[in-house]
Amino acid sequence: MRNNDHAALLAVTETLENLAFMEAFPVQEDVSSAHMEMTAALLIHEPQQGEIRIALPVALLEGIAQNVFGMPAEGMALPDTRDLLAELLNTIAGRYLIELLPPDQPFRIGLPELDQPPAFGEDLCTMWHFRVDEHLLTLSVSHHSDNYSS
Amino acid sequence: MGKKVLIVDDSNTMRKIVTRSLRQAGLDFEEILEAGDGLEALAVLRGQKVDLILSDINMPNMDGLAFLREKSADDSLKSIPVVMITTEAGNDIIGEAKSLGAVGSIKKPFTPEQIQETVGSIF
Repeated sequence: MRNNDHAALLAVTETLENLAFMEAFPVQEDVSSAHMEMTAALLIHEPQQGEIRIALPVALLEGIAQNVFGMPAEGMALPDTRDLLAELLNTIAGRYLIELLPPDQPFRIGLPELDQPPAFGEDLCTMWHFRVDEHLLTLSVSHHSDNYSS
Repeated sequence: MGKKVLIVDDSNTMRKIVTRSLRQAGLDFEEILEAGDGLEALAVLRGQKVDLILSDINMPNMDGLAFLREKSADDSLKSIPVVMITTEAGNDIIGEAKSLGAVGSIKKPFTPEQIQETVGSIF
């Protein structure tokens, strides 16, 4: 397995398990018809410029919210749902970079932004898909180089 | 335990997750207080006695490192133990936090066991 495949797998599965008590399984599926209404992205500033993005359907985010907050999704205010999405991405991104980079290599990431278009073209993007319950979640990472070794 | 803990994080989600993890870890605090950034945290600390602080690093208005600097400069606050909860991995950030008085750090995503191990060792 390539380093970034392993990093992506660990980042998503650990985050969903520890934050939301949910299991995520990597899949090779055509997600073109999937309704991924919720997107969030943050920029990687160091050690190299890039972007980390997640996309998932509203129903999955609501399910995660129910587990995290312990309340029915209907009772949640929209700001709380969006805050959850931002925190989910922030945690996945940090875990991904910790796993990918050499030990103790510092990194710097930006703040999560919701509903923004991709910062980089698809040719610079690597995507992974995960099945969580009956839904799909996509993680994508774009950067100028695959080589993060210092 | 009869103690109070202050959770400092700009994310309402993360404050709830930390609260949940403290309870799942069996750490029975008398009261769990919350603040959205370092400035709010200082206001809380100057109003009541707190026994432990769990703080994020990246926050608006006053980030975790600036909060540590302000806290350590206040004789009435500097002895309160602070544990940083963060996505940061680099030794430079955590090292700076410890030089400013943080007693430990926990990386996200964390388990209740990791919270228990770090916080339990303080008390």
